[in-house]
Amino acid sequence: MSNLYTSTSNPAAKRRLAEHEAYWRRFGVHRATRQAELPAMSTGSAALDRLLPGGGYPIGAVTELLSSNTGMGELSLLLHGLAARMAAHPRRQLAFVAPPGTLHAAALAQSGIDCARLPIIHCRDDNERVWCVEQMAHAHAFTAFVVWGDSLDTTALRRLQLAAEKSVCPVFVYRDIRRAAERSPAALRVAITAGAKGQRLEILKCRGPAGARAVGLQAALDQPWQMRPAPVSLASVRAPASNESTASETRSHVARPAFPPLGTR
Amino acid sequence: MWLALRFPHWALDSLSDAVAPATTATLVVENQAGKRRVVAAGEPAIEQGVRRGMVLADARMRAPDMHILERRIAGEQAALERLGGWAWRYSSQVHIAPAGDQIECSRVVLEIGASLKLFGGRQRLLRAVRRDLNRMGYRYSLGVADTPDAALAFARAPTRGQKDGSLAHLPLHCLDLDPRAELSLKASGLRQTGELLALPPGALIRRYGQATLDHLERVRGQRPHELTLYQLPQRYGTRHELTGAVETTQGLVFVLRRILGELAAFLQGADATIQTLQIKLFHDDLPPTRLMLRLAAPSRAADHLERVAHERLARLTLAAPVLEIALASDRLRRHEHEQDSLWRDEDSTGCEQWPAVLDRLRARLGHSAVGWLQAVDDHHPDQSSTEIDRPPTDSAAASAPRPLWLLDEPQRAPNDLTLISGPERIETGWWQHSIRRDYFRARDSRGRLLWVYRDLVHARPDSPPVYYMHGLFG
Repeated sequence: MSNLYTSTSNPAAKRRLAEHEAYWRRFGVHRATRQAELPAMSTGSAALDRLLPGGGYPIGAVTELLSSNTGMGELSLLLHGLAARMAAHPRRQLAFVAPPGTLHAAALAQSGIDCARLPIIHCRDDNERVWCVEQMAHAHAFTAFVVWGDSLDTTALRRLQLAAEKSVCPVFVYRDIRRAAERSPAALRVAITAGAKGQRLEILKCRGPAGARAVGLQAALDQPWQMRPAPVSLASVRAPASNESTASETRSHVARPAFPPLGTR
Repeated sequence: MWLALRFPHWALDSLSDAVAPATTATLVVENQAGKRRVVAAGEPAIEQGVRRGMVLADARMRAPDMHILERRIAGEQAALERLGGWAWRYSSQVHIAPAGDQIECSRVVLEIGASLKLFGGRQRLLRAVRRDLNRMGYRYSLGVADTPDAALAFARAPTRGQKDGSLAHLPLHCLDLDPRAELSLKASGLRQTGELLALPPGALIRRYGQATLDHLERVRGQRPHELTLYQLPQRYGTRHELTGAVETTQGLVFVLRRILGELAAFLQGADATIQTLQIKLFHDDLPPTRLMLRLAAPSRAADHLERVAHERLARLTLAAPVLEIALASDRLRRHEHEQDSLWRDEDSTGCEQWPAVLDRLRARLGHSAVGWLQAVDDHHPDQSSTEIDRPPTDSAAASAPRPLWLLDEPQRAPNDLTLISGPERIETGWWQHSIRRDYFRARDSRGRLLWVYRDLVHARPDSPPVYYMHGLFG
């Protein structure tokens, strides 16, 4: 087997290698040196895109957004990216499932969201939330699903993940920051915490090395929330291949999972 | 060219509450001149020798353990009218007639000459008709001829060879003549239609009266057929009487499958769609239970209606057994045929399924569970955004920043506010709920961006300003 991967000058071996890789790729196994092709949608901010594998929120997967309070710009951050995606798909819908409060139409319009394509679904329990998304995933008519579900358990998140894969569109789940310590099957977990200069975004988990963070979201004069155009304090632009924390990184403000990833001890 | 369909056991086949009533061990009886006679029988009874018109006592001798039902004319009539809607698919000239004093058997007669080309010939059209009728579970006999009465005569022909042969070779009883005239003709030695048609008209009138001659002339097409044209109704409204009370929603699902299948066949034939359907469930002594199915888009698909009804029934607990089901639709709309675009539009594939999914969501969660936000042109912040049950057509965007989350009731703002921008004076509603407020955007120590206001109506000039939180910039 070893010569299969070393003697790449031989064209026949090269071809065999390519076939071999293609075979394994079907099972989701990729070569370590090569990054899997991750379909993603832009977050609307170049700085944040650079931090995320694939260059944005993953499509066909669950993204968890963990915030410590409502009203920290956590929804504006998402609408930034969704507005562009809605404009690119003019016939598709965006579904809000079980928002915790009353949304304001004018504010959504200001964020570039077309309210006529934004059905809002009120549910009574977690089971209904997941059921709704599963039903809607049958119709390939959506740009994204946004679910508010603080109490969703791992099984529910897994079902959402399957629905996301089926409908080939991103599913965003808003949860409380205290859930950051719990394990989650989400492909991407972003924590939003308050900082002195602006909100701090931290990538708790992603496909690839996690741990990057950005201070980006700021209250601006002309619009409610704004991504800072050129983030100054990007703490370590993604470490190349490991999850090990380096000396330059500042302490995380978010509770870590109970078990650190392999290799950090 | 005319197609005649006769339904000899219509009184049984038209019952709604079994998946296939034709296969049940059932007899339908009616009082005729003081005697109880069988008007329709299920297949097991026919196998044991029961025939239509038999006295009930005779039928009981041959088939002892049969379920006996009284005939219900109203139900038959309603079912035949639903079938008329189905027949509309094959012809625009449809005549229906339920069995009665004049008419020996429930029948549908339709003109198919104009539809042959559309359906690709006579054989294919007849195959499609047969397939539909078999799917609906009706027993029928079928005849095709140049006039309606001749088509009916062919439909009465007992053997296949006679059906495909010529009119002249049909047995005399196929003509549905007056029984006395028929007996007399048979006594004169006439056996076949051709022999009767060859007789001189003058002699016929003298011996058998004008009615017999008129009938023969209608058979030959020398006289107009005098059938009443079936008119497509404005809306679908029908009642299904159930022979036994249905006590569970699970049982109702089965009954509704057949009922909605008939509705779908009707809509398909009428080339129409419906958007709302009211299902009324009648009980013995309680007021009827009403179920309203409101669809997001006009539809005519049986499986979709069935699924929506199913979700709706899952939320229902039956107060009492159901004896009868009535359906009432809104006005029938013309079906909008979908046009395929020349270039495949990747983005819009699958979007047409959204209304169907919406119906399913609403059927399970309730109609009000799905809503859309609409911006209202009102200065009052509480009233400038409402939730409505259909997508808004226009959207008005405010110029000043508005919070994404609006609190239903303003709350006292925390003390550690940093005002970022403002004030924005909102002063309105002097005629009702007068407000006069200065709105600010402010940050609190938890990192939230708040929409706060200072009330100018109740504020005292000497006291420090009190802020109320009205929204959150999420």
